[in-house]
Amino acid sequence: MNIQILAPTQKAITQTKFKEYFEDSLFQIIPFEQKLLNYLSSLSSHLIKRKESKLMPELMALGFWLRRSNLEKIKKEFFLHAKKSVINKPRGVVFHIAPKNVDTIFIYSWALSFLSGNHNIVRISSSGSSLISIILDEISALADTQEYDFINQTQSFLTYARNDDINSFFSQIANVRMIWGGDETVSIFKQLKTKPNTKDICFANKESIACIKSSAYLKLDEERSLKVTEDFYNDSYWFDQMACSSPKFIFFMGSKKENILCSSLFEKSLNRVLKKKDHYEDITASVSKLKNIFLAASKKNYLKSYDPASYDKATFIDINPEEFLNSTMKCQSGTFGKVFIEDIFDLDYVLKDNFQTLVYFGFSHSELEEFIHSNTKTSIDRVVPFGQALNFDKTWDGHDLMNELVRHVNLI
Amino acid sequence: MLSVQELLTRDPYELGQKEKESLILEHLCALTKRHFDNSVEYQNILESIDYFSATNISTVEEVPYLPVSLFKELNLKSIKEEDIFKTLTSSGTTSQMVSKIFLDKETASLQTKTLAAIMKSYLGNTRNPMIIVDCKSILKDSKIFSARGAGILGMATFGRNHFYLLNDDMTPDFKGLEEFLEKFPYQKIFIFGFTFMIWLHFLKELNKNNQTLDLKNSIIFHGGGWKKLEHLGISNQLFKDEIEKCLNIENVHNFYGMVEQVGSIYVECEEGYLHAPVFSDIIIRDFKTWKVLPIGSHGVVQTLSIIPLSYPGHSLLTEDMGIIHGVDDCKCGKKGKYFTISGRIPKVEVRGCSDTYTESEAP
Repeated sequence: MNIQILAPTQKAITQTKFKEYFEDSLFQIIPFEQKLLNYLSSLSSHLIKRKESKLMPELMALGFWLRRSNLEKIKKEFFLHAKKSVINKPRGVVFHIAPKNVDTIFIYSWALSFLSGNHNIVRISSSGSSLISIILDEISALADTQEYDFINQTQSFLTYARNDDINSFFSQIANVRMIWGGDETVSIFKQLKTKPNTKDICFANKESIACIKSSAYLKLDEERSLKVTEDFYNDSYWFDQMACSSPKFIFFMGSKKENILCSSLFEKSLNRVLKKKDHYEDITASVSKLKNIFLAASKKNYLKSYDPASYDKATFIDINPEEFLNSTMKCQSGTFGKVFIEDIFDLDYVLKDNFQTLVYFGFSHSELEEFIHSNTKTSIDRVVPFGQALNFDKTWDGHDLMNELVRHVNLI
Repeated sequence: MLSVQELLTRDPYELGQKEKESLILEHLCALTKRHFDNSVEYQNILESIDYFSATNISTVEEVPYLPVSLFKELNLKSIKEEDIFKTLTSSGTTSQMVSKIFLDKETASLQTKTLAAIMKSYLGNTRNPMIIVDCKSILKDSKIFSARGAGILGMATFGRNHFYLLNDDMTPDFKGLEEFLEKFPYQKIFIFGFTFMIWLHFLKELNKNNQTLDLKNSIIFHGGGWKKLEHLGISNQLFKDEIEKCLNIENVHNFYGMVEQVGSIYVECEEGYLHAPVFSDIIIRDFKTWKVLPIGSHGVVQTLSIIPLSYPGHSLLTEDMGIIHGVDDCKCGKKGKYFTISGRIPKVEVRGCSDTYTESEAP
């Protein structure tokens, strides 16, 4: 079977060749070595300079995240928490299974693994996007210099048609498997044999919600409320609500009166933002939205009547908190489930096991802290203010990725 | 109101649009009322969506419609459990969700009869020897009919001495075909199959063997969508050309239909246009406002049918795009609207981190 290496050097390679090559691997790089930081920050400036990045906010965001000051910050934080008796070493070979569609998230996790000094094999879906080719272009171009020749020996971005044989092969080479792609991908890979001590970091299907404190939103002046709503727009519309961190349901917290007032104001404000951004749904999204509206209408336990001609507006579908857990509504294409609650602690009993991000507005740090402490479920991995839902952080899905990707050698 | 039974005795294409509309409007209003009274979900939808009404409908355009995908999410029916005679399901090979259509005896019987009336105007009254480009085993599970099985059974009644061209492994049984054709030399043969299967398992296989057949005067009916062929860049014209080259058949009819409205299908005339028979009609809508578009505009296809008595499927917004080219003036002589289908609305692509690695990526 054919494996196609896409970067740093394009070539086809057989499993046997790959094996020979990996059996001789020596792990000579140490975590946060200077050349690693240099490489990523050069990559950062190359990505930012690309003219495409003006049109692709995801590319710009990645470039921005990879800039030197952020890398230094990650390094500083890492050593701040490191134990004195511990010497940090790379874990070895990390096999990344990247998600199929347009998303840069696996580049972030690759970068963290790279900073840890690991050798990386990144399996990219064969239906690659232009965004991914730009990134791979730049990764390859930089590796072509003598300074960064080590990239060629240690990093491989590759693709192959879905094949359990090759998946098994890489799974048995890997010391760590970083499995993106949701429940189904995770379960496929969990069935494959690995080394006994291979560590799996799995990213299952996750969903996210937003929670607004109605009284706080109602106090905002027009300009401020528009700004807050625009943050929400960025969180949810950037990936058409499909990113696991994009909020699909909005909880309004307050008295019934406050919630009704606030949600109608928020809806108006969001529609203004959509107008300003010239956002409207394409035909696929418009049809899927229509289905959502009809589905909601068929159940009828909602407060208002629907207008199917809302391709340029957000659609809010009312859901009773009691029914929220059983709701199978697919929120996408500008459809949001809307839930009224009286207290933030009410969130606890509606939380599903797969909740990732709580995007909030109007709550104080101590209120949220108290809520997280009192949370009795095993879900909610991130609690972030409006506008930051999509910001990648080394603490993701409940993992401190940086710590997972290094080996801690204890010297007493 | 002229009943469906009475309509069945007439030529399905003789009524001009105006006359036809006032006729089917009565049926569609009665169906809307019937489903409103007997399906909770349908009632809820009509009550929740402002511009729909169950009673105050004065034009065909005002008949409430349902997005066809709703039949994948809900069990929509207007009959009691014990009155279900047959459940049709879409083949659903690409997605796990399948449409479920519940038929009572009356609806099932009307489906058969409307199809017969439509086919009669193309095939005449005689039943000809028939080649079915599929395998016989598809019919085995009689409890739940897949769209494919139901389609074959529905069509099989219009032919005789049926020969199933494909073996269970989808390879053509050319030896059997030879024997079949020896039995009916130079006769008009009725060939039926799904567009994609005819292309892949018949025409391409003939090509592979450098073989051609002379089935002059025969007639082909094919349907089931162009999605897979579009992928290969094969147009209706190319399909027809290839049939003429391989089989020497000029009489080729594509048809447009769906499991949600079995029976009242739209058949392509010799001018290359699909025609709405008296039992059904189409409307083209704008995907932004869902308003009706004028003749010649490209938009989302809505299909109306007066057949669905047992489920609220008499007015559906499909996931197909199409254009109405004219009304009452097709050169073929058939009255009513004539149109073409230009493709399917692209599927929602999942973006983000929980994606579908599991979907086959091999071509």
